[in-house]
Amino acid sequence: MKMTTQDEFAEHEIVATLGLVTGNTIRSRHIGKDILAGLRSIVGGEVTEYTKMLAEAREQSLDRMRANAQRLKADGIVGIRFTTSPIMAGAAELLAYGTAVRLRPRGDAPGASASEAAAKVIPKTGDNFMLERG
Amino acid sequence: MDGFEKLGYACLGLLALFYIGALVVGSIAAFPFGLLGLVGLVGIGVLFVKVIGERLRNREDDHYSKNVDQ
Repeated sequence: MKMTTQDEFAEHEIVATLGLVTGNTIRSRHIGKDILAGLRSIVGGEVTEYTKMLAEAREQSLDRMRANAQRLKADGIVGIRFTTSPIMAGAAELLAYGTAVRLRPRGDAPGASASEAAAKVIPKTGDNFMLERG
Repeated sequence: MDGFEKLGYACLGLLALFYIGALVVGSIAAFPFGLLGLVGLVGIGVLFVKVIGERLRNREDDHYSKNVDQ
């Protein structure tokens, strides 16, 4: 699954837009880590307990968004964004969202070899089907 | 988790156990009105057991806890 924050891929062109896909989670650390984080704020520096919490939330929301896109049989997700909001003390919500798309390699792209594109039929909207260029 | 962290958690766990024990003894000593507190304590305890059980069975949480650091 290809994912990007851009609106399109350099090596692939979008042949179908499948719609919005999201993935979100709310995570917290256990009370021991919360106490450690509170003590760490006294002396300053990185609060590694919450760094880990947000990293876990980021990866989990990305995985859930990717799973939603796979259910739509998407090849990629474009325009990915993250948003976060405070739910309760010591917990964070992370929402990842983007647009699921179907892709085909661009003819002039380095990855678009003749073998991978040959005789690959990609359905387009409506009745017409497009044969990929070799 | 280093030695300091383990020692800290052990002390806090011990404190929590004594504190809960004191709450239970206090609730029984204040019979019959103490029963109200005891019922609340049992309710929270049951919910806490449910939360712990769900966390222990959650493989997805284990995956992110073990494999994601930064």
